[in-house]
Amino acid sequence: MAVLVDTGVLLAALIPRERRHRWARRLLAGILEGRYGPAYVTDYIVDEALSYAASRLGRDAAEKLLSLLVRRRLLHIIPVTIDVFSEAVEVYEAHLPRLSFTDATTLVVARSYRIDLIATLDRELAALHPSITPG
Amino acid sequence: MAAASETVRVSSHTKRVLEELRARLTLETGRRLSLQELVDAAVAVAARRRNELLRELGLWRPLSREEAERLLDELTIDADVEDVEEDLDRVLYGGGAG
Repeated sequence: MAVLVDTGVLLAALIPRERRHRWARRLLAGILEGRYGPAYVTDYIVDEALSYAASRLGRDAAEKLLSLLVRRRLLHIIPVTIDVFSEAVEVYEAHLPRLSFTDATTLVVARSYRIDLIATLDRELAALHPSITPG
Repeated sequence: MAAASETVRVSSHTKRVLEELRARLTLETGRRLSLQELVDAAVAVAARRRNELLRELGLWRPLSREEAERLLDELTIDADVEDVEEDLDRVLYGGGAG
Protein backbone atom coordinates (compact mmCIF):
# COMPACT_ATOMS: atom_id res chain seq x y z
CA MET A 1 0.00 0.00 0.00
CA ALA A 2 1.20 3.53 -0.78
CA VAL A 3 -0.44 6.94 -1.03
CA LEU A 4 0.22 10.07 -3.08
CA VAL A 5 -0.89 13.24 -1.28
CA ASP A 6 -2.34 16.05 -3.36
CA THR A 7 -1.85 19.78 -2.65
CA GLY A 8 -5.40 20.45 -1.42
CA VAL A 9 -5.23 17.79 1.31
CA LEU A 10 -1.88 19.10 2.57
CA LEU A 11 -3.16 22.66 2.77
CA ALA A 12 -6.57 21.78 4.22
CA ALA A 13 -4.87 19.70 6.94
CA LEU A 14 -2.89 22.74 8.08
CA ILE A 15 -5.56 25.46 7.78
CA PRO A 16 -8.14 25.17 10.59
CA ARG A 17 -10.69 27.43 8.86
CA GLU A 18 -10.79 25.27 5.74
CA ARG A 19 -14.16 23.50 5.56
CA ARG A 20 -12.58 20.04 5.20
CA HIS A 21 -9.89 20.67 7.79
CA ARG A 22 -10.96 18.04 10.32
CA TRP A 23 -11.18 15.34 7.67
CA ALA A 24 -7.88 16.35 6.05
CA ARG A 25 -6.01 16.64 9.35
CA ARG A 26 -7.19 13.24 10.50
CA LEU A 27 -6.19 11.77 7.15
CA LEU A 28 -2.75 13.43 7.09
CA ALA A 29 -2.08 12.30 10.68
CA GLY A 30 -2.93 8.74 9.61
CA ILE A 31 -0.69 9.06 6.55
CA LEU A 32 2.24 10.31 8.68
CA GLU A 33 1.64 7.39 11.05
CA GLY A 34 2.08 5.05 8.09
CA ARG A 35 -1.47 3.71 7.93
CA TYR A 36 -1.44 3.91 4.13
CA GLY A 37 2.16 2.78 3.60
CA PRO A 38 4.89 5.11 2.36
CA ALA A 39 3.58 8.55 1.40
CA TYR A 40 4.58 10.45 -1.70
CA VAL A 41 4.23 13.85 -3.29
CA THR A 42 5.61 15.00 -6.63
CA ASP A 43 7.94 17.94 -7.13
CA TYR A 44 5.04 19.63 -8.99
CA ILE A 45 2.83 19.28 -5.90
CA VAL A 46 5.59 20.79 -3.75
CA ASP A 47 5.87 23.62 -6.29
CA GLU A 48 2.10 24.20 -6.31
CA ALA A 49 1.83 24.23 -2.50
CA LEU A 50 4.83 26.53 -2.01
CA SER A 51 3.84 28.91 -4.81
CA TYR A 52 0.33 29.21 -3.39
CA ALA A 53 1.64 29.68 0.15
CA ALA A 54 4.10 32.39 -0.92
CA SER A 55 1.56 34.36 -2.88
CA ARG A 56 -1.50 33.90 -0.66
CA LEU A 57 -0.52 32.80 2.85
CA GLY A 58 2.79 34.54 3.59
CA ARG A 59 6.29 33.64 4.62
CA ASP A 60 5.46 31.79 7.85
CA ALA A 61 3.04 29.48 6.03
CA ALA A 62 5.52 28.85 3.20
CA GLU A 63 8.19 27.91 5.73
CA LYS A 64 5.82 25.50 7.50
CA LEU A 65 4.99 23.81 4.21
CA LEU A 66 8.67 23.67 3.31
CA SER A 67 9.29 21.96 6.63
CA LEU A 68 6.50 19.41 6.10
CA LEU A 69 7.19 18.69 2.45
CA VAL A 70 10.95 18.92 2.15
CA ARG A 71 13.03 19.37 5.26
CA ARG A 72 11.61 16.63 7.47
CA ARG A 73 11.69 13.98 4.74
CA LEU A 74 8.38 12.52 5.87
CA LEU A 75 7.01 12.36 2.34
CA HIS A 76 9.06 11.03 -0.55
CA ILE A 77 9.27 13.51 -3.41
CA ILE A 78 8.92 11.88 -6.82
CA PRO A 79 10.40 14.02 -9.60
CA VAL A 80 8.37 14.54 -12.76
CA THR A 81 10.74 13.05 -15.31
CA ILE A 82 10.61 13.65 -19.03
CA ASP A 83 8.68 10.37 -19.48
CA VAL A 84 6.06 11.40 -16.91
CA PHE A 85 5.92 14.87 -18.45
CA SER A 86 5.32 13.51 -21.94
CA GLU A 87 2.55 11.18 -20.77
CA ALA A 88 1.02 13.98 -18.68
CA VAL A 89 0.74 16.12 -21.82
CA GLU A 90 -1.53 13.44 -23.32
CA VAL A 91 -3.60 13.15 -20.11
CA TYR A 92 -3.88 16.93 -19.81
CA GLU A 93 -5.04 17.28 -23.39
CA ALA A 94 -7.59 14.47 -23.00
CA HIS A 95 -9.14 16.08 -19.91
CA LEU A 96 -8.91 19.77 -20.77
CA PRO A 97 -10.04 22.00 -19.06
CA ARG A 98 -11.03 19.89 -16.05
CA LEU A 99 -7.55 18.86 -14.89
CA SER A 100 -4.63 21.18 -14.22
CA PHE A 101 -1.30 20.09 -15.66
CA THR A 102 -0.13 19.38 -12.11
CA ASP A 103 -3.10 17.02 -11.66
CA ALA A 104 -2.20 15.29 -14.93
CA THR A 105 1.37 14.69 -13.66
CA THR A 106 -0.05 13.43 -10.32
CA LEU A 107 -2.20 10.90 -12.14
CA VAL A 108 0.64 9.69 -14.37
CA VAL A 109 3.01 9.34 -11.38
CA ALA A 110 0.40 7.37 -9.40
CA ARG A 111 -0.08 5.02 -12.34
CA SER A 112 3.60 4.67 -13.25
CA TYR A 113 4.80 4.09 -9.69
CA ARG A 114 1.85 1.78 -8.88
CA ILE A 115 0.73 3.99 -6.00
CA ASP A 116 -2.54 2.55 -4.72
CA LEU A 117 -4.29 5.72 -3.61
CA ILE A 118 -4.33 9.45 -4.22
CA ALA A 119 -5.46 11.55 -1.23
CA THR A 120 -7.20 14.48 -2.87
CA LEU A 121 -10.00 17.05 -2.59
CA ASP A 122 -10.28 17.08 -6.39
CA ARG A 123 -13.21 15.03 -7.68
CA GLU A 124 -12.02 15.11 -11.30
CA LEU A 125 -8.70 13.60 -10.26
CA ALA A 126 -10.41 11.13 -7.91
CA ALA A 127 -12.56 9.88 -10.77
CA LEU A 128 -9.44 8.77 -12.66
CA HIS A 129 -7.58 6.76 -9.97
CA PRO A 130 -8.50 5.01 -6.70
CA SER A 131 -8.55 7.85 -4.20
CA ILE A 132 -9.30 8.97 -0.67
CA THR A 133 -11.67 11.95 -0.82
CA PRO A 134 -13.89 13.76 1.70
CA GLY A 135 -17.22 11.91 2.11
CA MET B 1 28.21 -5.07 -29.06
CA ALA B 2 28.79 -6.56 -25.59
CA ALA B 3 26.69 -5.12 -22.79
CA ALA B 4 28.59 -2.93 -20.34
CA SER B 5 28.99 -4.52 -16.93
CA GLU B 6 30.09 -3.35 -13.52
CA THR B 7 31.28 -5.46 -10.64
CA VAL B 8 29.21 -5.06 -7.47
CA ARG B 9 30.57 -6.48 -4.24
CA VAL B 10 28.01 -8.22 -2.03
CA SER B 11 28.36 -9.00 1.66
CA SER B 12 28.98 -12.57 2.79
CA HIS B 13 25.45 -12.55 4.27
CA THR B 14 23.91 -11.60 0.90
CA LYS B 15 26.04 -14.21 -0.87
CA ARG B 16 24.77 -16.84 1.59
CA VAL B 17 21.13 -15.74 1.07
CA LEU B 18 21.57 -15.96 -2.70
CA GLU B 19 23.13 -19.42 -2.48
CA GLU B 20 20.34 -20.66 -0.21
CA LEU B 21 17.69 -19.16 -2.46
CA ARG B 22 19.30 -20.81 -5.48
CA ALA B 23 19.44 -24.17 -3.69
CA ARG B 24 15.76 -23.94 -2.71
CA LEU B 25 14.65 -22.93 -6.18
CA THR B 26 16.67 -25.79 -7.68
CA LEU B 27 14.97 -28.23 -5.30
CA GLU B 28 11.53 -26.80 -5.98
CA THR B 29 11.78 -26.43 -9.75
CA GLY B 30 14.55 -28.77 -10.83
CA ARG B 31 16.24 -25.92 -12.68
CA ARG B 32 19.66 -24.67 -11.61
CA LEU B 33 19.76 -20.89 -11.96
CA SER B 34 22.92 -18.83 -12.21
CA LEU B 35 23.60 -16.23 -9.52
CA GLN B 36 23.39 -13.61 -12.26
CA GLU B 37 19.85 -14.70 -13.15
CA LEU B 38 18.84 -14.58 -9.49
CA VAL B 39 20.31 -11.12 -8.95
CA ASP B 40 18.68 -9.77 -12.12
CA ALA B 41 15.28 -11.15 -11.03
CA ALA B 42 15.69 -9.82 -7.46
CA VAL B 43 16.50 -6.34 -8.77
CA ALA B 44 13.47 -6.44 -11.09
CA VAL B 45 11.22 -7.40 -8.15
CA ALA B 46 12.74 -4.65 -5.97
CA ALA B 47 12.14 -2.05 -8.69
CA ARG B 48 8.47 -3.10 -8.86
CA ARG B 49 8.03 -3.25 -5.08
CA ARG B 50 9.27 0.20 -4.23
CA ASN B 51 7.47 0.35 -0.87
CA GLU B 52 9.10 -2.79 0.47
CA LEU B 53 12.44 -1.55 -0.80
CA LEU B 54 12.04 1.73 1.13
CA ARG B 55 11.22 -0.25 4.29
CA GLU B 56 14.18 -2.59 3.83
CA LEU B 57 16.54 0.35 3.37
CA GLY B 58 15.17 2.08 6.47
CA LEU B 59 14.10 5.07 4.35
CA TRP B 60 10.50 5.00 5.52
CA ARG B 61 9.99 6.09 9.11
CA PRO B 62 6.35 6.56 10.10
CA LEU B 63 5.65 8.84 13.08
CA SER B 64 3.87 7.80 16.25
CA ARG B 65 0.36 9.20 16.72
CA GLU B 66 1.68 11.73 19.27
CA GLU B 67 4.50 12.84 16.95
CA ALA B 68 2.08 13.27 14.04
CA GLU B 69 -0.40 15.29 16.12
CA ARG B 70 2.36 17.44 17.62
CA LEU B 71 3.84 18.11 14.18
CA LEU B 72 0.47 19.11 12.70
CA ASP B 73 -0.16 21.41 15.69
CA GLU B 74 3.25 23.01 15.12
CA LEU B 75 2.62 23.52 11.40
CA THR B 76 -0.90 24.95 11.70
CA ILE B 77 -1.39 27.90 9.36
CA ASP B 78 -3.52 30.81 10.47
CA ALA B 79 -5.28 31.77 7.24
CA ASP B 80 -8.76 32.90 6.34
CA VAL B 81 -9.34 30.28 3.64
CA GLU B 82 -12.56 28.26 3.62
CA ASP B 83 -12.12 26.38 0.37
CA VAL B 84 -8.48 25.83 -0.45
CA GLU B 85 -9.13 24.10 -3.80
CA GLU B 86 -11.14 27.04 -5.05
CA ASP B 87 -8.69 29.58 -3.65
CA LEU B 88 -5.64 27.79 -5.07
CA ASP B 89 -7.34 27.54 -8.45
CA ARG B 90 -8.04 31.28 -8.39
CA VAL B 91 -4.59 32.34 -7.13
CA LEU B 92 -2.44 30.06 -9.32
CA TYR B 93 -4.59 29.35 -12.36
CA GLY B 94 -6.92 32.32 -12.59
CA GLY B 95 -9.94 30.11 -11.79
CA GLY B 96 -9.66 27.93 -14.91
CA ALA B 97 -8.61 24.48 -13.72
CA GLY B 98 -6.91 22.62 -10.90
